[in-house]
Amino acid sequence: MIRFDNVTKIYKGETRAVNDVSLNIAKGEFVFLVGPSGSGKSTMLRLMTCEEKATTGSIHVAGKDLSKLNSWRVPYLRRNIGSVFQDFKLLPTKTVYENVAFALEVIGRPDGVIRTQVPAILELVGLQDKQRRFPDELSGGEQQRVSVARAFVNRPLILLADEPTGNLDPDTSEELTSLLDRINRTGTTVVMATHDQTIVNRMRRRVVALRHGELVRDEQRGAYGGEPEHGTAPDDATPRDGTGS
Amino acid sequence: MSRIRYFARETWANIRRNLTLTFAAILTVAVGVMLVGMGLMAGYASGNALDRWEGGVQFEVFMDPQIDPSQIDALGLELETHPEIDRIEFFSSEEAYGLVSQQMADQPELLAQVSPEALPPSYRVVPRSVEAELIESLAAQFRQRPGVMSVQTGREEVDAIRTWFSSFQGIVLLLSIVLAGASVMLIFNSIRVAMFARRREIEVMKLVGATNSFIRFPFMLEGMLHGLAGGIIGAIAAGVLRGHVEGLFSRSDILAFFRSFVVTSSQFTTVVFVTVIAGVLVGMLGSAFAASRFLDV
Repeated sequence: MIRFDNVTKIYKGETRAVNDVSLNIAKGEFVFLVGPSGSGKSTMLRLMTCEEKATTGSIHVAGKDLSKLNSWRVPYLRRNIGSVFQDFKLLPTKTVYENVAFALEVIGRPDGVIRTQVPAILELVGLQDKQRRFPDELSGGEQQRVSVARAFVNRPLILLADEPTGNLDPDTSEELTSLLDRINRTGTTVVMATHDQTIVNRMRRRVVALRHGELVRDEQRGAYGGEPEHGTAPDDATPRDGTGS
Repeated sequence: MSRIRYFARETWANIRRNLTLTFAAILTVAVGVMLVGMGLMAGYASGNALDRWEGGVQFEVFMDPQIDPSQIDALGLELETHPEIDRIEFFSSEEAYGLVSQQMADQPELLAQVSPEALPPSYRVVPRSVEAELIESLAAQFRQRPGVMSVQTGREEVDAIRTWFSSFQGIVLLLSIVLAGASVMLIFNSIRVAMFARRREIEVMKLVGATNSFIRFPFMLEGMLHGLAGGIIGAIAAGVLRGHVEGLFSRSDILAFFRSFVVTSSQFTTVVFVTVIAGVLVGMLGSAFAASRFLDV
């Protein structure tokens, strides 16, 4: 579903944000992208959505070679990718329902589809009773669930989450991750960039660790720091068990 | 359906949010296209009034409407064979009526009082030389002929008027170009402000895969509406101006000379059409610039 072949991304001719990364994510996988700040996690996600172009190497997403993708086709690629961010990116002037409906509206979905899909997805994320609320009337966890609903309402093949629990307390983070897990079980490929070692360690899913833009570890059923029961600080995610690279 | 509602809603929200800049843009467009309309009307008016002086015609010999046809021919022959005259053109009473009815298309009650038989047939004369003295002496010669009602010269005045009108048109054109530039910049800015105000929406739209054209459309529509509104206001202003000037000419004896400077309804329709289209084009140009500058994937 997502394949990186020797991908390097250099910003403004200097910063090497991603360095010679090769990675293959199959359909239906749940992948944690971990590593300290500035290790290149966000750049990886931005490369997947074509917000950035790889300097060298090739990236395939949903069967498309991104280096050969015409810029006018980029929006159609993004309709297959849902994105969730740390800061939610909800529109404060729109209600919960309108925020989610907006995502369908602006890709030209008919009224009928919007009227059936939006309530269904809000029920999935457990916000059916808060459809008429505005984002600032909701808790952080609820806001993030709205943003997940918006990302998933079009049933994308891939869901990318960039530090989705970064602004949430531990319990809420847990709830959100289990929501992403439920979405993953519908067959959607989920890639979640995170600092949250508790979640990574509890979920026991594939872990891809980055450091200084290089892929330093990739293990199935992995843990945040490489050793399950022994957590490390987020900024010190050095691989220790040597299974990586 | 959801699309149309979306575009209508977003465009209206943009305009409302940005009212002062919108007004500035619309009024600038209006003044600019009004000038275009004025220039166009000045061209039409001078064209209508000076039509018979086209092609080097230096004087016109009007004959008595009751003149005998053989006399017309005799006079024509004399004019044609005159050594100082290059060529002539004959206008019968019916042709004269045709011209008058064109100019008076807006005043049918006035036209009804004119009959073709009452209008003098005429020769338009192109002499070999344009020296004023020669033209005067020629005119004087023919003024005395039997059956001739009057001889009108006026080349110099005509040339002066034509020069005046064309320089007037030049100034108006220049001003309207300046204002068109200002309008494009104002619309460009008002669209940019609208985009800035909606940058969160735009970000989300890009995120969920809205196409560039979909994102741009409400902004383009807004710019076009600015232009359209300006165009319509400009056209109305041009219409008011036309009525005012024509009223002025018909009331004042000093300005009586200008009474033949009229713009017909069909010409005015063209003026309205051109001014409105010019407004829309200016609006489209400004918003297209803004959209391409500030809305890339």
